[in-house]
Amino acid sequence: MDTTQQFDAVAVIGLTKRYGRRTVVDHVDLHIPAGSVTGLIGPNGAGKTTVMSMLLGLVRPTDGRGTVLEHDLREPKAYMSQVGALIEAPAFYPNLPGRENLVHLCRLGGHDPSEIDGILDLVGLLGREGDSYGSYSLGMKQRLGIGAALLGDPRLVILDEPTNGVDPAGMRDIRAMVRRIADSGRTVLVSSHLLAELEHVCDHLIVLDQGGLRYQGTLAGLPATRDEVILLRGRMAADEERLVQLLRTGGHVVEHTATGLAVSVGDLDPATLAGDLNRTAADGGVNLVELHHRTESLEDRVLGLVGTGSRS
Amino acid sequence: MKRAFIAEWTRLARPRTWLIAIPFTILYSAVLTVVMIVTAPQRSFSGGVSIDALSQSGGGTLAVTAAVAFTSVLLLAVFVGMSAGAFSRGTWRASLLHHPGRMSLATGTFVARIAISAVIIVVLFVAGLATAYIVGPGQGVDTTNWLDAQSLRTAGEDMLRVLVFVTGWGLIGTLVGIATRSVPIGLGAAILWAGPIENVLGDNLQFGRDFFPGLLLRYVVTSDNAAVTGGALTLRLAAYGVVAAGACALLLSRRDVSS
Repeated sequence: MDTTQQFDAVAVIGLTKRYGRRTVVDHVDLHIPAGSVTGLIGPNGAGKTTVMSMLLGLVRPTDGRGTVLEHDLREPKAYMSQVGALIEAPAFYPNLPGRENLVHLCRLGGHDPSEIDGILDLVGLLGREGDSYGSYSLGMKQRLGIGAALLGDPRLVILDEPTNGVDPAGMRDIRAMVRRIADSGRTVLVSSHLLAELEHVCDHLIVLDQGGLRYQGTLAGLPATRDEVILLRGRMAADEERLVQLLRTGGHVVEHTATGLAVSVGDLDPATLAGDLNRTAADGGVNLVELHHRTESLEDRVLGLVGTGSRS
Repeated sequence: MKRAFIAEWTRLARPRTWLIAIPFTILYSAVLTVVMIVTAPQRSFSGGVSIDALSQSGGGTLAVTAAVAFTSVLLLAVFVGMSAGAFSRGTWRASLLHHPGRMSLATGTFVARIAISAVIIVVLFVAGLATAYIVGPGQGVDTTNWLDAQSLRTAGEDMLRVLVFVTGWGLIGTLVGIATRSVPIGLGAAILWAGPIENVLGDNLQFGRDFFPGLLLRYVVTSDNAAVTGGALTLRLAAYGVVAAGACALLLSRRDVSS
């Protein structure tokens, strides 16, 4: 990835969409660094697709201003030639072969059709490009949709739930594909409600819930919702009681959990702390059967921000 | 607009399209030409198809021109299906991602569809003329004037009138498709209008005969019982055309593209 690019590929302030009295996107500020892979995450109904549609000029914002690739958000014609997208679901002519569908889009967009072979290779459809789109599996349709988004060598690629309906192996392939797209220097904005999906490909994250922005920044910066701890379990209950005394004497914050003890990491290095705890237990004659560092997954952190309820 | 035209033309003008459209057009033209000639009276005072009229210069394409009037529902269904289908299938949205100019995309696409229709009209006329040549003499039709200069001019005018008829119904179908964005709802509304409302209600009301767009389009291809002709007909159809195109433009430019 080209880290010398400093500008925001997308920089919008107060992006809002209302349908009558219903506010679908509520004053969202977005800053998507150029060259990043940014994940747009949130439960169903959070407003992800609407935000993407507004960036693509498909949905008119009720309010908000900003730029996409340094062009005014309200003039999508000025920047759409540099943007590729798969939005909502892949949409092609079912009676046309996959390749012919891409050729059709090349004619519409004035793209060079000679790039189609490379794109078909990238999305893993070389060899099946002559089959009619209607005969494709769901995964192949998604791949062709991603391929269509790459026509015209766009600087910004927007992918709306690209792994929707795809089997686990297909998901892994699509994740790798997204990474390859990003490695070619493009900015990628990818949405998903499957939290673990984005953890593997994104370096920047936007969390939406009920149309509002809950978090924006790096994955590492995502706020923790519970203390980071080292979990310990002794062979017997008496071992744990003795260990509590030893640890508290040593100044550690220790709590009982359903399965053992939890020692707060605080500002300490977890690996160093784990080593110290193991040594303390051994020196005190306590037999440990379990010692591990409990970290929060992206899912835990995001759920802490948005709650667990899906509204679809 | 040029890119949209070329893309749509190339998409539609595929061998498969012609393999379906041309035999169907030839069959339709032949059957209706035969029916029109066989059932034609010796003379008609309302300007319709008659043996006398068929025997004049331009008589060779008279039957097929009049037969086109029966295609209104088919034309409407085809154009509603294509335009509403683009919304329900998502291809309108996908196209906009590569061609964000909504008006030029819609105009180029529509013009390409009319251009395809123009090719089919030529096939329709050639098949109709050939059929009339075969069937006409047996029904007492004099075909000696059918290939003179006047006949060729008349054939050109007839094709142009059919093209206006197709464009008119195409525009109505496109508007219905854009307004409803649903193939079944659009088809239901279109068939209800073009069938019972235009043909039953319209034919029985003076206002309908004077102003219903479908009936005005019918007068373009057949002067049989025409309530409006000449400049008034042109003016009314032009006004409807402007209103329909304006409504399409308004709907396409103002509405959000989302499912």
